[in-house]
Amino acid sequence: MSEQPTTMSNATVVLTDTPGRRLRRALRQLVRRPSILLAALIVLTAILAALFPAMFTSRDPLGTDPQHILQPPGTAGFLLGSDAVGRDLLTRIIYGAGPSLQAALIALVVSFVGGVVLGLLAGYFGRWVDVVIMRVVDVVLAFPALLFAMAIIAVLGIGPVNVALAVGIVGVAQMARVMRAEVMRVRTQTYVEAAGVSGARWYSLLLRHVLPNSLGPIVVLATLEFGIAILAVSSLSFLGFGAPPPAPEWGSLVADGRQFIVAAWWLAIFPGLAIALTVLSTNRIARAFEGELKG
Amino acid sequence: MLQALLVMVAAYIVSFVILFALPGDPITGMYSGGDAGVVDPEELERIRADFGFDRPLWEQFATRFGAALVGDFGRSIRNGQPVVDMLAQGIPQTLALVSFAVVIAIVLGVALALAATGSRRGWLRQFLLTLPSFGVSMPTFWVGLILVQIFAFSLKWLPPVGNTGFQSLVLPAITLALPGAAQIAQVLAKSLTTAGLEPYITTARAIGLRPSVIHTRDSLRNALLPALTMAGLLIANMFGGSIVVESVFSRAGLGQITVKAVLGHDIPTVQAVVVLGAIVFALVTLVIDLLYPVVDPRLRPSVGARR
Repeated sequence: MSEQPTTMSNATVVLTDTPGRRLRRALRQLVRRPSILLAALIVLTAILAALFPAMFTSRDPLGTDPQHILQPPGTAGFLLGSDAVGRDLLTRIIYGAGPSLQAALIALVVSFVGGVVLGLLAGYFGRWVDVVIMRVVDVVLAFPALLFAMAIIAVLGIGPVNVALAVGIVGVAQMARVMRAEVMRVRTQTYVEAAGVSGARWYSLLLRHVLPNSLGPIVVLATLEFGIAILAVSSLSFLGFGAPPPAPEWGSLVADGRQFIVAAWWLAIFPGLAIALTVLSTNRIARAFEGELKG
Repeated sequence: MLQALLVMVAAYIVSFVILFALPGDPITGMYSGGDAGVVDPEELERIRADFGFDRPLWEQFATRFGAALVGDFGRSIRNGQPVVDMLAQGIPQTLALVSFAVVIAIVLGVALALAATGSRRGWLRQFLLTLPSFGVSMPTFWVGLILVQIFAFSLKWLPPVGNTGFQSLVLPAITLALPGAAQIAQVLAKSLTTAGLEPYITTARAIGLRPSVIHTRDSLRNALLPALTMAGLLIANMFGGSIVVESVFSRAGLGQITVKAVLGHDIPTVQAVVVLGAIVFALVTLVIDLLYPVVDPRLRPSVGARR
């Protein structure tokens, strides 16, 4: 960014940047670019809906209403229409935020922790540890991601948690690769060598010096991966590997709505829109974050 | 060549470890959940022996791997049919879908990147450059349903579902192509912008070549490499995405076979599809490696100076 000379290395940024200054700069960025502000609002709404769905609606996502089946959007009481048993679509989308984001979050945590640990081991110890880990990572990356996730589901069995785990395990490979590259760069930095020379033990070197300073790129990757995880989870749920029918997960909602695509287009279109908007927003924020970190 | 072969072999090993070597063999997996009590243990044991799952793991691996080398992935534990025969029924449809989608993705992606970086009007440029971020954010199954809604049900131009000739291929192929086109456009637009700052572009401009000629001949050619590198991964992922797209459009193909196999814990079939995915990736990567020197003469081995 313009306030910051491009020659400044990462190490000095850590020394001179106080959290307060960083926050202020981030906020200034927000005001300058309305698209980021909008994206942040959408993500915030999705998170709030996931945590406190009752805040947005007083209706029951599973409550049927035989008098009002397949109402088009805009009907009194059904802003986004109703489904084949008279459930309010908007309510179901709001309650769907929870399972959808939760699954993506589980996937992200699995990829992140797995990737950090494997990348740290491979990058720090090198030699055969590196060879073994990275060969496996390379092979995993050779499988189409969605296909590999389906293979894991075939072993674990179907269900929302297994879908999340599968997506997470597939994501480990990419994370490990990025983490390893960064660890190898940080390991040769002067401050790490200095700590080594002054007698720090290997685990303290690894955890106190290498780990915190190699997290930057992988955190950026994680923000990008969140959107990818939402898409992957919803795709697998759409295929029927996730939560069983009455649950209002977004991908499953689209799958349910698909049967009524001729008579009631809204049932498939609006839940999909929720996915698209959320992913678009998290990607927008991730890009901004990436730009900010690269300076 | 060797690289590609190694990837395929490694893919087989990894898929074997994940699918067969984990605790609980495929037969137990198939009958677990609900109907576990229905089948008596002796019957299970008989089925297990029939498929060879009672053998030590290394022996299973040796037999299966040996057979896989000559194109035999065993029998489906669902219906006893040879897995390869099952896949052979789906491969033509999926291959047609993926290849058509790849062509659309490349044409669309390159066109968008060229239009975006070549346009002089600021707002148009900005608009075109934001399009790809929408493309990568939309779930494929949702895009497919929207296209069906518009072009099949409202306009009645194309059939909504099925495998009836070329017409039924158009909507699925476009659906599958859109995220790929968006990714190609993103990478290409970025490298086109960088290529535009190179000295040889300034030279070309100074000579007096028309901007459109410079843009398509000089910039594009130099910007193609990063996009080409990405295309391998992209095509492999389209192979994965075709499962979702085939499901949306109710097309027969590998997708339906795979979904059925996963739902039914049909491990041998799942393994065959997964390994097939890795083979596609390895082959595409091989082709792309061979294409590099064609696109960029600098990468051709120079005459007389053999390395």
